[in-house]
Amino acid sequence: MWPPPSSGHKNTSSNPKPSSPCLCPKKSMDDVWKGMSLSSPNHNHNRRTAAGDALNLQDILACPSTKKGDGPFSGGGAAAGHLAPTPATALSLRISSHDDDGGGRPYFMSCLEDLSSSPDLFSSLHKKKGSENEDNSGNWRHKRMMKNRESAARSRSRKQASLSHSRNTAYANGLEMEVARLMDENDKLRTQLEKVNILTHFKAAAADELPKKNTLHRTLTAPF
Amino acid sequence: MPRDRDPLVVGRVIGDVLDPFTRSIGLRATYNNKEVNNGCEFKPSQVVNQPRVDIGGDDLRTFYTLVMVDPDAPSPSDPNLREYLHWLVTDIPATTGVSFGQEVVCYENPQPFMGIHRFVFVLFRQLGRQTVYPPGWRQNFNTRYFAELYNLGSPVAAVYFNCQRESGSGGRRC
Repeated sequence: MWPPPSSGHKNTSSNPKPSSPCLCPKKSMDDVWKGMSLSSPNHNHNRRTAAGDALNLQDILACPSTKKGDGPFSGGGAAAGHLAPTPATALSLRISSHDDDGGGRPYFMSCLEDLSSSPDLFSSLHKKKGSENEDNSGNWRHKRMMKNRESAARSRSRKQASLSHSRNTAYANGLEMEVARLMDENDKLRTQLEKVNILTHFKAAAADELPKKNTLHRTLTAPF
Repeated sequence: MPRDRDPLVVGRVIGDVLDPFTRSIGLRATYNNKEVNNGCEFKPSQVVNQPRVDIGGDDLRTFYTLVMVDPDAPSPSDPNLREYLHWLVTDIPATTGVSFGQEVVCYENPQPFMGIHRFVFVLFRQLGRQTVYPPGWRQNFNTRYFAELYNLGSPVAAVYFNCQRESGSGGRRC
């Protein structure tokens, strides 16, 4: 893809719409405009440019939608004439801003010549970028990212739901087993308790009989 | 079970379709002997025909309404048709099944096209036998409003399953 996409570095501050594919550093766009003497000389370096400047840029960038070569360039300098194919124009502006400040203008012109040789590529490229630009290309990426995150969250909740289901079943199974085990133990203990109760009852009731039960008897097993 | 482990909450059924409620009646839906458990996955081919639905309760004079909706229509990432009504059966007597009720909106088998959809069965208790009018269309149904409109109150039971297109590769086994 050309120009090489930067990592979303928002370059020229005077550009109200961030053009992500542009590699340009801080100031180049301003200088290009200065060189072209299209706008008023008070370019700022932040978004708080004079309304006229921002408007010019906006118009220019918005130009591709209308596919007209005129408008903001009508009052321009020598460069204006070459800016008739607007798709190429916007691209070329970005490209030129990649260069240093001083040589902005000449580079810009040479770029234009290069561009005009292959209008199809650039118009198609620019269509994509133009629409992105209009949407705020950063916004498109942002939306994509949000959608991905939502999808990931849904996937995690599905995973958790299936886990909790199996955990609940296992848990419930474990509980049921526990309950069964405890009930058995309860029964055993109750039986033991009953036995003990009976024994003590007998002990209390008939003290005489018991010794008979508990008495050990010596029996004769051997003849001697 | 604790609120945050409830599969209906985790699967966001409570939130997207229903408000929190307390289960009080048994609800069991079965497609060809495979029971619907929360969050389990079914293929469209497995849910082509309406399931067998058995409900609990104890008094045959109490009637229930069953709603089946897809809150992820047409796609979970852009559910602009939420909720899509797949089935609506009313006047189901307690302890019986769906076959004893009145089918107000006939069963439409799930055919998810994009993404993994949840299909939710919701059971409401009716105040008495009542006439329920079918909505004009299946999409953009709102279970909450429906319950309010017919004085159904909070749900008494709910269960959901996941379904994606037959050749889909996402999701997980249950």
